[in-house]
Formats: sequence, structure tokens, C-alpha cells
Amino acid sequence: MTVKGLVDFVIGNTSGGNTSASLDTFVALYNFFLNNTTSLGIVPVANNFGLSGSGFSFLNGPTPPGNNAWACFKYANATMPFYVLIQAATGTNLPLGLAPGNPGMLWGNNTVGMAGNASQGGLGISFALRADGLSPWNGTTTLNGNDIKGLPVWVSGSSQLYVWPRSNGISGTHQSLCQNLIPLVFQNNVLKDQYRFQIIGDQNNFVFLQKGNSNVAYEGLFFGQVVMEPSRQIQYPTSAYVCVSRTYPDTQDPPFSPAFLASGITFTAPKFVYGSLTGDQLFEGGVMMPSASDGVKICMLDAPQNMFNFTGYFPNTCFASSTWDLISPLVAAYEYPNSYGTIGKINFFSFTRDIALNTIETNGTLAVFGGVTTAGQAKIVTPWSGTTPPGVGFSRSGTQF
Amino acid sequence: MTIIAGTIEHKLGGNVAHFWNEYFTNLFRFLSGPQAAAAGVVRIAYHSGSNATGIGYWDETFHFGDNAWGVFKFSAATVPFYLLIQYTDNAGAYFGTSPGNPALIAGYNNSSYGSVGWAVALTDTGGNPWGGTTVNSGSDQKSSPVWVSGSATKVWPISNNPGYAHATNRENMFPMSYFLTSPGWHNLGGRFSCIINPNNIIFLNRPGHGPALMNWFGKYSPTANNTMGVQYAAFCNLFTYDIFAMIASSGGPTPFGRIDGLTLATALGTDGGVYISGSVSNVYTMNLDVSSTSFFSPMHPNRLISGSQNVGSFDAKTLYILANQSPFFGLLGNIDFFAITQHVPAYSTSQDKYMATFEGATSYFGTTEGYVYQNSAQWLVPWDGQTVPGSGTSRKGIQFSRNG
Repeated sequence: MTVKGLVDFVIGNTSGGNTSASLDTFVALYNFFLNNTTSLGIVPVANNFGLSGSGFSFLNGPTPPGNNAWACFKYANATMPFYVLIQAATGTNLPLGLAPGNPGMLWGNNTVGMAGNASQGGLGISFALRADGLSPWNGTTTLNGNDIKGLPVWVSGSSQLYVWPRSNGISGTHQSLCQNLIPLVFQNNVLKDQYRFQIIGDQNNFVFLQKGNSNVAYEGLFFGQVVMEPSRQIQYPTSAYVCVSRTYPDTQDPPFSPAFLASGITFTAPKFVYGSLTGDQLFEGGVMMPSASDGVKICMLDAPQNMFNFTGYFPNTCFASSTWDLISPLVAAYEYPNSYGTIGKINFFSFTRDIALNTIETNGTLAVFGGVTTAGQAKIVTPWSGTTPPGVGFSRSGTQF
Repeated sequence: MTIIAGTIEHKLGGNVAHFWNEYFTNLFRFLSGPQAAAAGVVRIAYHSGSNATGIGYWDETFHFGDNAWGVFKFSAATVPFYLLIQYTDNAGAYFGTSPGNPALIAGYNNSSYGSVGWAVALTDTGGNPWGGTTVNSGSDQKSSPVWVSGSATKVWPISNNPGYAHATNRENMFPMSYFLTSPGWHNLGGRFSCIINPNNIIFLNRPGHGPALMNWFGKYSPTANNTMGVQYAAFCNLFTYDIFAMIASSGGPTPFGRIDGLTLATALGTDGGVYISGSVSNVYTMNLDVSSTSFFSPMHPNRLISGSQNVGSFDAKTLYILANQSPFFGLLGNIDFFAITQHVPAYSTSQDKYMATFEGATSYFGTTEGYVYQNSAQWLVPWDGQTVPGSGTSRKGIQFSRNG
């Protein structure tokens, strides 16, 4: 698989007043998808320039988008083709989901706290695919900046539909219109601080990471493939996909965490589960179930518990030179009453710990993200490219690889 | 294709005074027999013991005596290793007296209640670490040190290695039972099974016919970073049936390895160790690890396997090997000969009976969403393909070998 990235692009100023930050972040993300049509098979499906918008340049450019601009892309070269929808709105009291971005909703319109006040706008994302591989997109596909979303946004057609966030699916609050989006940024956050972003992906996987200059950790989202283990015979139509995300709050834990962190080893319940029926929780996402009629269910990530609950195992000192072990996250369904079970593992990113943020492997193919604290904290490790570690540069265009 | 062999479902306890004779005899006969030979096991030396007349149970014409011992080479192993077993009976001779000298069991030489002891040695070139004679007719003699001197020889228990308590004579052995208290296993009776493949041996012991205690030596599957030529480890667990507690507790991961050789010095009765290439002492203390979902009750059985929400299947949870003795820390690999599972009926088997479960103890965590979270983890081990676990009725048990 080919790995591509749009990394270290920086939006806004540390002094705040970044009123266009959500839309500018939308533009950067739009460009990542558009620029990887050939290399990753990401194909435009539909788009809308937004209210009074004229294109998809940055807001001080010639053809900026307007509020509630949106775009839909197809990952055509994925093992199981999937579709992604991004949408942004910015400004005071301008929620995501107004025309021409209707129907739409960010984080279930959760109004919790200043940082998470979704009604103030932001950038959101949703995913969908059909069991038969055909398009779940229910809107127009003119690609002239004036496309219209369908009602509902995603449809199953003659097949079965898998949608993320979980709340857009079976028994979810937003099942009828599939209009909810997982937040990538909140306008209330990016308004006040300078944010650094990392987008990395291949044909089957997508990682979006963001960190405010004053924050202690990266937050973000992963959507990607679950790799089956031969010893565990679970039959999927073609493949399995999972989404895990945490946009808020800002803690030292990595954005995608093993379930047991901070719940210790009492195992009363995992601390972190991804996905909710209401689509307004700190951790959103979900995992495809083997039976298409079950859709997407709430999920959790897993890893060896002693390695991550107790110190001393990282770095690994058993070999000629110290090394940081990379642990593939296990993915398990975890939704009451019957959707439980380990499914497989994620290969695109790994867990490790006790290593500094922004560290890169000597050959530049891996990078570390998570909290700024080195010791005692789990981190995630993603593909990278180049000898320059993350955290360098302050351009809005970032670095592409 | 590899061979899996075993001697299983031995039901012992008819005679308190000779319990360990029967355990030892069963083990010795299996390791000397055709099923173990199919897995590459070759006997190279033995002594019948004091007041012995040959190979056999205490009540047979030809029988073993106290301090009988045998050495078996696992010749088909990736790196051939040598297993030493020895026994004394309850109120019998002290463990390690002639003709079983030198020997200690868990660092002791006065096993009042008797036990079977076991030890393993190898060299990283696959050479012979055995220092004694190899006439192999019942009158062999041990050497002192028991295993060839020098850093090329790696020995389990780890106390037999350079820098540790028993480095000089290399005579310490793992105990098969917790023999410091009464009643002992010989009073309680019990069952045991021993299962091997060319690279592994497990002793699955059920004192009092209850939950199982697992002891293992074998080759683990290494991580990509691990290119050591010898990828072997062992653990000995004598006292805690609670698999969860055996692996981790709020106080930290359980250590497997006693450089003082005193396996029974703690309440858990654990010992073991993993080989570290290029090290001074060769074998170092280790921990085990598992993913946390190993103990989440709703995850077991795994309802996603077989495609039905209502019918699940074993979900084999991998055990990882972690080095944990200065200066060596970190992940080395995982055990692939057996695993753990939970929340299935004890003594279950797979449909083909090639895998069986043996229960540990149950500990209770709490209730969430109507599910009782409890640890009822079980050992998931290779099996013979026919026998119902727990159904053994004789001391001689059932022997098998099959393709794995």
C-alpha cells in the first residue's frame, strides 16, 4: 500500500481570533483527498461550495468556500470501497448543518462546555459503505459546487449499509437521516489557538490528528481496516473497517487508547469505548459487524495489559540496542446486549509508550503522537516519511509526502 | 506438520504413601514410550532409585524407588533441550539423596511430603548439556555439577545459572507441587496431564481433582525484533488457580524466576524464566501478559465467531513473554502451544476435541449492564481428539500422539 500525508500544516495564530480556522482546515483536508486521486484512488463524488462560497481555496484566496461547505469522496481502491463526507461551518452561532449543508449535524449538536460547543461550528466527518461495494451516497453528483445532499444522506439501496458515526446507524439517534458527523475540530477551540494538523493515509486507512499550541496532546480520528487473524474465523463480506476518534478533551492519553488505561486491571468495564447511539460522546466511532444486518457497533481497542499498565517494558532492552516495541491494537465489538467479541487488529498504527512526542524512527518511516509527557504514557505510532520529525514548520500548506 | 503427544487424565490418590511414585512412573513411561518418541523424545539416562527393582509403580514387581530420575532429550526441538525428572514419596527419603544426588527441589533437600521435580537444560548450539553417565539401563550416575559447566549451558530453574544461588552444582529443580503445607497433594489426590510437541512440554496438574495449575517449558514465537538463537522460556505455578492473579494483580505483574531458587518462598509459588542472548546469567526472570479483553466476561464466548449471535466459540487469548529482570526488560514474543480463554464450561473441548479447557479459579469483578464481570479464565490446551477432559478413571491415564 502507498502511504501519503499532508503533515504539519498549521492554521491560525496563537493569539487567537482565528475565525476562519474550521473552514481553512476543511480546505486542507479537501486538498489531501483531491491530491491523492491517483496515488490512493480517492475520487471526488459530490461537493458544495457552501453559503456564498465560490470554491475550495483558503479563505484569503480567490475562491474560498462558505459556511457549511461540504465534499464527498470515494476511496475507490480500498479493499471494500468506502465513502467519506466532510463539512465545516465557522463563526459565532453558526451551527454545522444549515443550508446548503443540510441535513447535517456536528457531534449530535452537543452543547457541552465551551470547547465542545458543537453549535458554534467546526469541521466534521462521516463515513459509509455498502456491503455490495456500490455507492451509499444519496445526493447529487454534479461536482459543480452546487450538489445537494440526499434525505437521508446515506442509503443502503438493495444492499446493507454501514455508517459512521454509530448514531447514523441501526437504533442510533440519527438513523433516519444519517446526518451526524464526528467532530475533527471545534470552532470554539481553533478560534483561540494555533493548531497543527497531521493527515496520513493509504488506500484503506485514514488518520487525522490535531493539536493546539497550548494543548498537552494530539487528538484525532482513525478510520481504517481491521485485519483478521487466521486463528479467529470471523466471516466478513469482504473486509472490516473501524473508526475511533477523540476530539476533546485534551489529556495525556493518546487519542486512540487501549481500553484499560486508567481503569487499571479491575476489568469492571473498559474505560474507552468508541461510538454511541446518540453521537455526542467524547469517543465516537464504531466497528463493522460480520453480519451486514447488524451494521456498525460500538467498539474498543485492546493491547497487552501489563506492558501498558506498568512501567519498565519500554524501551525494550533485551536486544543489542534499545528499541520501542510497536503493538498492533486489537479491535473488539463492545455493545450491549449481544455485540461483543474480538475481531482483529489494526496494522496502520501501533501503540507504544514512554517515548517522546514527535519522535521519528531513524529511517523516517514512523512517527510518535500522543501527549507531550514522555514517561508513563501510551503513544500511537503512525507511518511517516522523511527525516524531519513532526512539529516542524508553520505553513498552512504543510508538507506533502 | 508437527506431532502433539501426551499422557493425559491420570487419576491418582489411591495410596498416600506412593502418590509421587505413581506420578513419576506415568511421566517416565510416557517420555520413554512411542508416543513421545513420535515427537522426537529420546531417553538418554536414568536411575531406578533406592530400593528399586526397575521401571514401574510401587506395587508392581519392577518398580521405582525414591530419588529415581530420568533424562530425556527433545531431539526434534528447534534447539534440542534436555528434561530431567526425579521424585521422592511422602515420608520417603530426602529429595536429592543417593542415587539422586545432587538435587534440590525448590531450593530444598528435605521434601517431607514428596514431590516430582523437573529441570531443563540446553546449549545454544544444540549440544548435550548433561554431565552424567548415559548407560541408560537404570544405574546411571549424575555428575556434579548436574549440567555441564560454563555459560554455554542454560538451565531452568534460573538459580542454576551463573551468578545465581545454585550455579555451582546446578542441582536445583522445579517442584511439581507446593509441598510446604499439609495436606499436600498426596493427601488430596488429583489428576494430571502432560502434553508435548517437539518444542514444548506442559504439566497440567489438578490437586484435589479441582482447578488446574499449569507448568510449562517451551519455545515461544518471537517478535520481529527478537533474533535470539534460543527462544525458550518456562514458568512454574504451584499455588494460585486464579489465572488472572497469576498474570497480574494491582501490585504488579507476577514474576516468574527465582535467582535464589526458592520457588515456594512466596504465596504464589512461582518460578520460571526466559533466556536472554549474550547475557551474563543466561536466564532471567519474566512476566506473562495478555490483552485486557481476556478477562472481559461479555467477550467470551466470542459471539462473532461462527457467524451467530447466540453461538460462540473459544476465543484463544495469547500469552506474551516479557523479560523483567535488570538489565533486560521488554516483549520477547508469545506462547503458541497453548492459550487462555474464559466463560466457557470447564473441561470443554473443541468439536474435534483437539483443544480442551481446564479451569482456573473464579474471581468476581462487578456487574455492568447486566453482565457479571468475573474472571473465570481457563487454560486452552492441545488435546487428543477423543477423551472427555476430567473423565479419567485410572492411574495409567491415556497416551496419544497425533498430527498437530
